[in-house]
Amino acid sequence: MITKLKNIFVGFWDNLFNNTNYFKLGIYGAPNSGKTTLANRLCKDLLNTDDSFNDISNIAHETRKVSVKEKLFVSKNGKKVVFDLIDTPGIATRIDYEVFVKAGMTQKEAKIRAREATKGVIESIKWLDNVDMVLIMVDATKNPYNQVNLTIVGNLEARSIPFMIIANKTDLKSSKLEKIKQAFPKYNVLGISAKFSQNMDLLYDGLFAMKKKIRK
Amino acid sequence: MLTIQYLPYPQIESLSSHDRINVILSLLKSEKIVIIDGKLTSKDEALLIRETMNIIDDVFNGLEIGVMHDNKSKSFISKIKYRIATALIGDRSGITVIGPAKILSELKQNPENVELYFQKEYLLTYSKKKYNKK
Repeated sequence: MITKLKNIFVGFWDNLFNNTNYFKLGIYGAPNSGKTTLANRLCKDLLNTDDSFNDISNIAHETRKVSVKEKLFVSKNGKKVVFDLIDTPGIATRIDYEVFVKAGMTQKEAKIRAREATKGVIESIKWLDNVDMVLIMVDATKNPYNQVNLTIVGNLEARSIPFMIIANKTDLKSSKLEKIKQAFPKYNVLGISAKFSQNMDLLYDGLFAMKKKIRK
Repeated sequence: MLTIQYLPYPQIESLSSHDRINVILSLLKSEKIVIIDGKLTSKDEALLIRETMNIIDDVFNGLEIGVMHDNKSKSFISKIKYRIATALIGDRSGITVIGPAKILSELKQNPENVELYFQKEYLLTYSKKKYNKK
């Protein structure tokens, strides 16, 4: 009873002086970095559902539209954050339909997918104006010095949007978390495996920490 | 013929962001590799990606971009000068390399360098043309 009253009071106090308990959290990154896998993981953990947010696959540009899941929340030590989760298409500088043909699609299907993927990238970039906080997904098995990652970081800094760099796929032997940290020495880098739910508690802690930096 | 176009940043600095990006894209569509003496702003880079997506078709399938930064350690005075210059005119240190995806299969960058990997088909076509001319 006392804990409940305390939670109500803390929530009221937070809302009175800090109205950033409700925000839009975007997941950004290059294609195949695990954005949708993370989005599905967050939905599973926080909404306690086995339903997937979006489909995933090994073929790049599986997510080709921005998707929003509203009102996910995380509670810890009497504090709570509520957010809309925004899964975005991977940002790329090139889209070649022949890559999809090699992955097994017909030429017609591949061209449609390529066209949708280009629209998805444009939509992702436009949504930078609508998010309050971002998780930048980086594939820990790949070279982190990717200009797309740096472009996303630069645009978030220009908009004063707090972000965390998430080095995903740390369950794989080829992952190099230290290399990711060296590539982004000025920023918070957290290694996780979205697929196997490793270090997700640290990610949720990070949301609480970043929430204070949101400017509205 | 492989063409590398050197583009000093002052040449495009006074243009609007859209015009600046259009200059770069028209060079890329002419199958040129562009080397810019300076760096685009993050806003310009995002606009470059957006506009590239708008013009992707069966012939032009995008670009590869890499930026070499000036990582030399600076003296205290040099750091002050650098910060003043950055505050006045923006961060112009570094070199930007942009190439059409039709020519470049990959562009790898790291703090020390930028490596360009050419499309095998492009190199074969180029060397065939050169051989036939002889």
